Amino acid sequence: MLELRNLSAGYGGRPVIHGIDLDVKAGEIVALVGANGAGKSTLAKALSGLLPCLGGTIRFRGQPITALSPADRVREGLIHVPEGRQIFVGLTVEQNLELGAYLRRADASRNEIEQGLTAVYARFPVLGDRATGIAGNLSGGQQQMLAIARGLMARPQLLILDEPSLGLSPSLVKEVFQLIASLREQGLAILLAEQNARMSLAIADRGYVIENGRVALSGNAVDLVASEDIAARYLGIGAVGHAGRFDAAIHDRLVAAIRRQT
Amino acid sequence: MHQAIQIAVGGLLQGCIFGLLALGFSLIYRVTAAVNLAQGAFCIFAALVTSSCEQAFGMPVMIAGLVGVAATAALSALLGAAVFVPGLARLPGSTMFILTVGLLTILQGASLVVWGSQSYTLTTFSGERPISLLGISIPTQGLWLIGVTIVITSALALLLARTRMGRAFRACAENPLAANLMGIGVRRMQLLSFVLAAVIGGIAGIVIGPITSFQFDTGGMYTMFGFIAAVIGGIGSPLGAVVGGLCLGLATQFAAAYMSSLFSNALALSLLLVILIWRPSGIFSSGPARRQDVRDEPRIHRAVIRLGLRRGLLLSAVAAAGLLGALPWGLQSGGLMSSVVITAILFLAVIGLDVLMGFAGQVSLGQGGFMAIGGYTASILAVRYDVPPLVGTLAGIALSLVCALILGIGAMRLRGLYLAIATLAFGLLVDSLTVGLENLTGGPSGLVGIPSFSLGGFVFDTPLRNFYLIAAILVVILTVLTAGMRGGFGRALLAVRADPLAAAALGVDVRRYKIGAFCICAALGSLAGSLYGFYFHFLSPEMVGTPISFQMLAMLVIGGEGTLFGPLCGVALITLLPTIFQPLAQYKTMGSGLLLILCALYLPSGIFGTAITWLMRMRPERGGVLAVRRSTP
Repeated sequence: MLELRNLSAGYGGRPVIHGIDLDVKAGEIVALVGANGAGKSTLAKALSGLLPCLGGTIRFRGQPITALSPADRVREGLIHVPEGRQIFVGLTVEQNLELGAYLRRADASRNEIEQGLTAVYARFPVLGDRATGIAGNLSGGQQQMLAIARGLMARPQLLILDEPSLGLSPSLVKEVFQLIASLREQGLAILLAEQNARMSLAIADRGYVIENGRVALSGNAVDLVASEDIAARYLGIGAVGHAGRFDAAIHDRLVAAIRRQT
Repeated sequence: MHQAIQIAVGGLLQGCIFGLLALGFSLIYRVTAAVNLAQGAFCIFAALVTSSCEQAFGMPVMIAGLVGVAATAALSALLGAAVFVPGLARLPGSTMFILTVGLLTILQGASLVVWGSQSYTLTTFSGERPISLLGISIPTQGLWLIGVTIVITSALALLLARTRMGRAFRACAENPLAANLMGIGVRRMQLLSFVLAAVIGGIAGIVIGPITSFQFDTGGMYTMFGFIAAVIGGIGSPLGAVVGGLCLGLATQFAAAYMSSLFSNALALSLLLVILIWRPSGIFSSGPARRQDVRDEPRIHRAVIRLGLRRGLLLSAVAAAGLLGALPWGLQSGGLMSSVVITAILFLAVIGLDVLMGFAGQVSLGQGGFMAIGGYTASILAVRYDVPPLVGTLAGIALSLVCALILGIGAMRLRGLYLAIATLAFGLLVDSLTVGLENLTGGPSGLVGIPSFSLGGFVFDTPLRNFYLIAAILVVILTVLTAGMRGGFGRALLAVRADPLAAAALGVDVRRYKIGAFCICAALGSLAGSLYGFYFHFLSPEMVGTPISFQMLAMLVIGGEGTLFGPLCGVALITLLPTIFQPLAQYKTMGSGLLLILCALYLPSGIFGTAITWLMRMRPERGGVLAVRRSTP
């Protein structure tokens, strides 16, 4: 479905990601994991056309899209749900959703859009309850739901989700990941850029580890989780994990000491 | 009663004019969240083209008008694509303000070159004879005006509220990034709104044309009244624009009829100030309040560029010696020497503006007002009451400080757009007073017979003596300010500029520092104004009016904000170049507009800042002559 070959992109003519090769096949979830600043969001922006490509090619459903505008890529069915949600805070929930179907409004009938809205409200009852409310008044989790729902309104073939768990409580994170897994059931392909490597690899079919703007490692999600390297770097197990346990021990001792004094 | 109705009709027509001018502001703001101060210039451009078509080719006014609107659309598409839209992509709101001041200036300058400085008027659309209705007479052009206002307003309101494009416009202003991801061509929408607004402005200019006369710089006035009407009504809402226009029109007409024409503008501006302070988002606010911090996003992170202390002193000493050394050469021609003095005086005023804008991050469009207060106070005291110049100057500074405090305390909770318009209203208020209080100020023809500055019997009566006087003042002020800006005061101001909320959280008393910076700015403006009067022995409203405020803004941005010394480059470029190359004087306005646009777009730290950065790059910091200190971590 999506093929990147030797892709470079960045800001102001300076590449941040270098020579990325990456594939997403129909109906699979591909996790893009890596530390802060590794280049995940840059890659997402280059895919949606927010950033120009500095080299390499992007093919989507067999067609080269490297030179297409963001609008044309949306028309092709490649939808990017950006980091930090970026909903239209001053508009109502329903207006936000309708803007998601902005390009479809040109040819789809009002009826089709209504059907899309009904489907979204069935999946996210909270949004239906607050359809006429101002989107900025939603909670963080609800805003994330709205951002994903807005993306779904465009009838995507491929959904690029950038840090959907950012700033959410652990229970909400779980909810978001369950939602993403359920979207795959509908045959949607998903590229999931996340810092939360453990969770995203748990629901993904395959994964790519990005480091300093390059693909450091790739493979089946199961193998990646099992690999010691990944485990140590991103999952808090292994060598780093020991350090973590050590910190925990110090922490416990400190707490005990403070309790004794008071 | 009959008279009141007649006045109300006059107010209604005036209000329609203001409303039409305001519509363009609202449309552009709605889509881009920026204010286009060049809006008024498009009105005049369309009217001027129409007038030329009428006179040169003998076209009927309607057809000539169509040509005028088409030409405006083409010109705005060009300027929008080359300047406005690229600016939106990379400049914060306050710099967009300055960029559009540049557009206004360049359009006025070009009109001056093409059409000269005489005034024009258009033929009425359907005869000169006014229609009489129940004893109330209405000019037929007035009916055209009302009709056009109703049609354009309802069309625009429908477009924004009911159509897919209207929703896309709204999305662009709300969140350009997300709008892009929805498949909305944000840049195209921005350009479209810019052109559409210019077309509305052009139609307005042509419909108004037969009622008033206009010349190359009338656009500035149109911009101000349109902007004021838009803010009164609530910027962003088409209905608000017209209601704001009507309020302003009725208020000015009734004030002119029942009080005096002198106070009609003053009253309108006071109305604006009251509305701004009481309800900053206007009568019809469009959507939730936007955060109005002046220096949002990219520009704040720009480093404040300055020389290291010792090297700085060395460099300024060299510069001062160079200037003094250049004097004998200047002496040969009195004209040039005179320009050097004017440069130095304006430099004083622009340094004040730099403290306020470059360091505290507030936009002021009213520096000319403080020059006027200082200039007129000192001059009137000297001419009419024989008060010594020094005392008069100090009195002017005191009066300016009082005004700055009142304006500051009232308006300092305003930010960005609203602070800019409050200072603009203040400047215009002072303008209307200097013109209106004829007995005191000599009115539009100016105040004559001002003595030279003197100190204990020593009279500064030649350009050279004046130069030494002002150079001495400059050295003192620059030394004090340089020290102040390097110390805690400057750091606090920079914190206020970068993020008022964060600064307050760190214990910086934001109000006090903002008002402090405003007072420094006002005092320096006032001092410059007084020296201006004493040097020219003459003072007229246009020497210290609002156009000068805009010019000083240009000088500051061209020289470099937040550099204290940089503005000298800007002032010198705009003041000295036309003197040295006399044939170029005609192109002065256009040139300064072009420079302003180029600097705002490509040299965000001005000529001086860029030069320093270049010097820095050439020499590594350790062994080098210059050091750059960064303001942000």
